[in-house]
Amino acid sequence: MKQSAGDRALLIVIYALLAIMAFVSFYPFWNAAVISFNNGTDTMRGGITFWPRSFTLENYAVVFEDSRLINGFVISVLRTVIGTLLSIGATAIFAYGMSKSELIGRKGYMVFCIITMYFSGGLIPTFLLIRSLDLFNSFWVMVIPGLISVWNMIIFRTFFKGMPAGLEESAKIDGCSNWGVLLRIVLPLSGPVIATLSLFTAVYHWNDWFTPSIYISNADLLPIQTKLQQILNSNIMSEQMAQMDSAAQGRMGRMKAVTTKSLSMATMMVATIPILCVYPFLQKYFVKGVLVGSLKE
Amino acid sequence: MRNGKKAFGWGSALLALTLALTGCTGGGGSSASGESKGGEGGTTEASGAAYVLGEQPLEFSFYGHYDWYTMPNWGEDKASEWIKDNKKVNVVPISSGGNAKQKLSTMIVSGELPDVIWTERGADVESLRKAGALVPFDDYLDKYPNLKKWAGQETIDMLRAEDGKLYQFPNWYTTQPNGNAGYLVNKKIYNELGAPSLETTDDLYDYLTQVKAKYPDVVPLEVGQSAAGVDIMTSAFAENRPYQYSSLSMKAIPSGDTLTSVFTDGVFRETLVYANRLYREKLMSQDAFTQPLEQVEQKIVTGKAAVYVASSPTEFGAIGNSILSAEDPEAGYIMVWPVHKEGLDKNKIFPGTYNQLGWNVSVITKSAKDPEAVFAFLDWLTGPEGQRISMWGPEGLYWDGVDEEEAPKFTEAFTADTKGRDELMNSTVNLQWVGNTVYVDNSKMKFESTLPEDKKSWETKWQSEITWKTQYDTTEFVNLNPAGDTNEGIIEQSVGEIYEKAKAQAILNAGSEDEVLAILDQAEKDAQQVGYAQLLEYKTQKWKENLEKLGR
Repeated sequence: MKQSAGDRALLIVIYALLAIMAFVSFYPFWNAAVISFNNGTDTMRGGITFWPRSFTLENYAVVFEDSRLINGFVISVLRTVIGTLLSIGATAIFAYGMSKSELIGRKGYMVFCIITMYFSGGLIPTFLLIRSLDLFNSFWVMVIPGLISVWNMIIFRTFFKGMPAGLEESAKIDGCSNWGVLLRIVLPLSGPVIATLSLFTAVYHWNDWFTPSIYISNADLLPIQTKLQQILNSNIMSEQMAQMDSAAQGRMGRMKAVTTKSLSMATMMVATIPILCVYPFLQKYFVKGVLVGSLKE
Repeated sequence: MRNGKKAFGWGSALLALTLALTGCTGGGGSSASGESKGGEGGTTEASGAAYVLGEQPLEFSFYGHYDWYTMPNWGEDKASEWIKDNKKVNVVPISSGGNAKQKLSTMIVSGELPDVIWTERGADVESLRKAGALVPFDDYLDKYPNLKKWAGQETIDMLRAEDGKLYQFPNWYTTQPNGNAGYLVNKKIYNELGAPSLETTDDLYDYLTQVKAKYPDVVPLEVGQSAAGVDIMTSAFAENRPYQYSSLSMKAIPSGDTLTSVFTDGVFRETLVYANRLYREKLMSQDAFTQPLEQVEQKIVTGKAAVYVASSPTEFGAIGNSILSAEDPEAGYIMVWPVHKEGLDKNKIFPGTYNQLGWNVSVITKSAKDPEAVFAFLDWLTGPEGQRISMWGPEGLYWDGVDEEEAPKFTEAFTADTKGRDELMNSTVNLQWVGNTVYVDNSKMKFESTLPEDKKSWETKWQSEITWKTQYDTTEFVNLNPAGDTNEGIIEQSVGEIYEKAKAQAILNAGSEDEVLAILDQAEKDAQQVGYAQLLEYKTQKWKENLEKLGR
């Protein structure tokens, strides 16, 4: 079929718009990367756009020599791996139970779950709870409170419900227990949904700086994102500054000036690249996965 | 459907019950732990002998209450390593996680307070004190010499809380002027234009006009972020007139023995008329109200500004000067004596302000096992030995021995190995919690005066020649601001909004002098409507209390 002139014009417009959008999304990231490879003092002069003007690896050397950032990086990796594994495991088990219509009180459980999606205790009560559970200042505070995600549970449940009932029945006839059915039959068949939800969970764990900022005071347990947040804050003119006299402003400015912009950007790159690398591996499941549970047959 | 409703009803009841239960146990738990910790503190206080640092190991936690603040790991730089080894002190950082406000709230509610909190003076400290969370220093003051000696009685009295006790350990307190506010001038442009006189506001106007004509890509007058430089320039239009009076933080002009409205203040109005003219004629930064700080930095560092007026222009100025002069010996920055309106005495013009209390404070909470020991450490740190080591590293590196005034004798390496020295100083700058301005500044100045001209630090040169002579003491105006949740606090907020809007409009939108004044008249009306008079009365009251404390 031959394209009409109108179709072609439309295509050009669409491609142009998409190209612009892609550029607008990609450029800030590219620019940050370029600045991270540029000499810190030279960056202050501004005007760095597509290519470093004074190339250096010094910023990365500083980041990788900083025991705290490396420590934060390790914490982030641990948290993401352990948090994702446990969270997906626990949520899947829960969802499997909830997918069974013979479960007594299923609707009641569901109501409890739904309530947590709409209401939370608020920061201070949650903090008090965490503290009395002895999770304050513990690595596990980043893992355990978020173990069950109701949203993910619903997606899992819908997926499980869509599986042919005959599969499970035949497994049971062959002598499989409930655990056996879940671990040997159901989960192996749930590749796409596990991949997709794992990705969402992993990205959440990797990016979350807020939970640790509140519940962890020990600097050795902080993930890299929380440290990054602090570093980026030192580049922001604070409101407090307006309230101070000029002598005090000078004192504060001096403390903040220790971190250059190039250094902040290098830290940002180190904190961003690893999670980006996960995407290509999960890409093939991704398109299939996000649609899972969208239709109920 | 009916079933669902029933289940929901049960669910809500259970939820309410759970909340009630957790609420009870949480509250009970925290108060109990608070008491037991308080008790432990009491035992050391009872013993009369002074605590000697280094005899026993001391460990305490330290929390810097700022989103941007990261305390360096204790013992990883040369100064704290020395302190750890020789004084057996270990400081454990508590991180704000970039989220200071919420972090502190949760710590207060749960009773999990750090041993030392480093924060701004004011509302937070006061609420901690009212909650009984802070340790007063009065019993320790006489036992440990440094704070009392260096801060002086006046400063200590000003820091006292309503109950007459001292809870705050000041940082960069001073009894002599310090600060960097003033006018930075691009040396190359200045000399190429024949180094004209830059004494009066008319001189400045003429100079900026020349710059605009000859250097089209240069900003004639850079006023910084949020046009902060315009605030500074109010100092030019009256004698003994710190900019703080008409700044957003104060908004009150002393007149006789009361504080009066900023909008009707002649000096403030005259400054805005002047700034408006500069703006209209494109003689000052056109994006003053929108530009980020980074952009200001760029202009200074690349020499794209002819004059830069700011509260601390030396910060970018020093970097710009070294970059520009490395490329071209004729380029760089100089500072000029603050400009003044024709007819005023130039020695009575003060573009910057400082106050005796310094910047911020450290407070010791009742969580500290041995608050006296912590105080003893802070007192040592603010004394000559502590300051020398935390500023310039342990003895033997960049200084060796002290003179009769306890000022360090700097070694050759201090001027020869500037890179190593700057690295050391950068690694400890975030450990300056109880800075002693008088000691540090005098030691620095004493040494600089022995150096030949070309070895002198750019910044110190201008500090000694100009800025320290032109900073105004505003100690009597500290703590004028009401707490945010009071009636006056709400008025302060509203008047602040009116002020910011009026200032921006007067500079950016007004087409003539009359329009500027009309905008300010309207602002005065609006401000009076939200209760400005009541706010001014409150501030006057606070000011008088300060004067009484200072015995002025």
